Amino acid sequence: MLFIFTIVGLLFGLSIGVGIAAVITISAMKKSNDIGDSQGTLRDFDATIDILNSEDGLRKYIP
Amino acid sequence: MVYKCPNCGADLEYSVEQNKMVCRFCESSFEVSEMEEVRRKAQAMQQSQTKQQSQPIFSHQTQFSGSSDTFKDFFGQNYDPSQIGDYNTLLDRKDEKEAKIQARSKATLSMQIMKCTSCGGELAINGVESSTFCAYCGQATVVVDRVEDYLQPDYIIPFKIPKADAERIIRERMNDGFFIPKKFKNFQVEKLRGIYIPFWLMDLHYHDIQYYKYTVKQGKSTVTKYALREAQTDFKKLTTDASLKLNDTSSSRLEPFDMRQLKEFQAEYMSGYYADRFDLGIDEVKPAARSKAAELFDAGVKETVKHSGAKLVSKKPRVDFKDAQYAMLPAWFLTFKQDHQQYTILVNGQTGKMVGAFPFDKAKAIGVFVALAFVFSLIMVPIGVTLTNYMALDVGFDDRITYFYFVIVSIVDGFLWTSAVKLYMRMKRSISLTRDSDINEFVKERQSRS
Repeated sequence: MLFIFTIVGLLFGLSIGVGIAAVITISAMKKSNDIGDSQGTLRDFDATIDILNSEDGLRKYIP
Repeated sequence: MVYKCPNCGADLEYSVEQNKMVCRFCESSFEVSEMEEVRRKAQAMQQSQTKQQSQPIFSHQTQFSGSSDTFKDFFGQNYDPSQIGDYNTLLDRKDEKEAKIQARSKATLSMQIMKCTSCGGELAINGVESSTFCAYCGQATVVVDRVEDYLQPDYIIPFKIPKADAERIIRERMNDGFFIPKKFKNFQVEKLRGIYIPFWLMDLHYHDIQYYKYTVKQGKSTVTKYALREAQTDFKKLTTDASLKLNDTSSSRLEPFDMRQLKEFQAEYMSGYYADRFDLGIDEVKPAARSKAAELFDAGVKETVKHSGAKLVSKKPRVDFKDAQYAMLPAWFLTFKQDHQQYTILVNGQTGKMVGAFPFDKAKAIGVFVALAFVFSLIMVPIGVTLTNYMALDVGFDDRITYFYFVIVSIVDGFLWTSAVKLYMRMKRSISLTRDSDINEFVKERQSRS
């Protein structure tokens, strides 16, 4: 049993370790090579949102 | 229309550096606001030259009899045309307004053959070009009938970034890219063109009733709750690409433009640059404007929902289009070829924002990935082995905490790999946009300046 769970733990550790490495590498690649990947925001259009009605904690909603 | 220098008769073009119309030949410069006066002087000069040249050939003058301000009606009575009732004027104005709406709601295009006023060469102007150059002598020309009457843009943002700066921005930004291959950094410019892109600036009222779903812990159980948000906003000058050939993703990436610098349209700003008229009318861009407004609106409303993991489950948007104005916004397009592929990089002609994506240096990418994978595996493997053995053997395989441990590790693992794949796919999509053949043709299918 110890052997099996050691292998499972090793695979978990490897998968997460390699996954973190993949995310960091691809993020860095994207930052370096994909230039200007952003769009305008609400502020660019001089618009502010007026909240007319706001309720939280409702049990139901009417679609 | 060609803007001529009143001093020497050569072409005048808009200079970004001087914010003036500058003569390419004698380097005289004129304020854009003075151009009406300059145009009159140039015309007078041209007319006197023509008169001097034509005198020996044409010796007679045609004379028209009668006064130009005498009009007769059907009964032979004189009348003053300025006395025609206001009713007709009002009707004309009403028709004019409707004609303007009709002319702008849908685009009708036709190709034109133009004759260069400088060298006499014949130019085939495609259906959308409204400012170009003569392919033979390089004279800057504005196609007047595409920027007058109802087709006249309401606003323009003149170029602020000069041509040399646009290339410098691209080279500097690419040199900073660690994963960009060296051969890309040393690209040879194929075309670098300043193009005014047509946009509709939409004013619209957006109202929506939205429900968000979220979960809260109540004791030991998890309860589903909903949040209601009824909200509204008035979008002013929401930019919507009015060019069919330039895809919406590329044009929206060029944003933001600083709308405070919008100027009343003057065709002089287009002299020396390429420009297209709209080939998507107001009616045709309304769906795109609606979805852009929805995206911005939803993101804004979601910020007011403070519950973590809240998801939008229902919405009832109501959109009222109020007005649409026609504007020309500046962009530099640089094309180059690498590994038998065409690349087109865009630079916002006002702010200098660059848009473009490139393939990565494989050796560097693999090197960084292997090094990082080694380091993180070195940290995560002992943690994984120790925790798994502790949970399964010491706490007990049947225990609920062990079950949660396995579920959470699987979720974290799945999340990491999904994020990596999503990021990679997004980068691939950006690269394909830079390689897009339509945008490449959009830049290249124009009269080259000789």
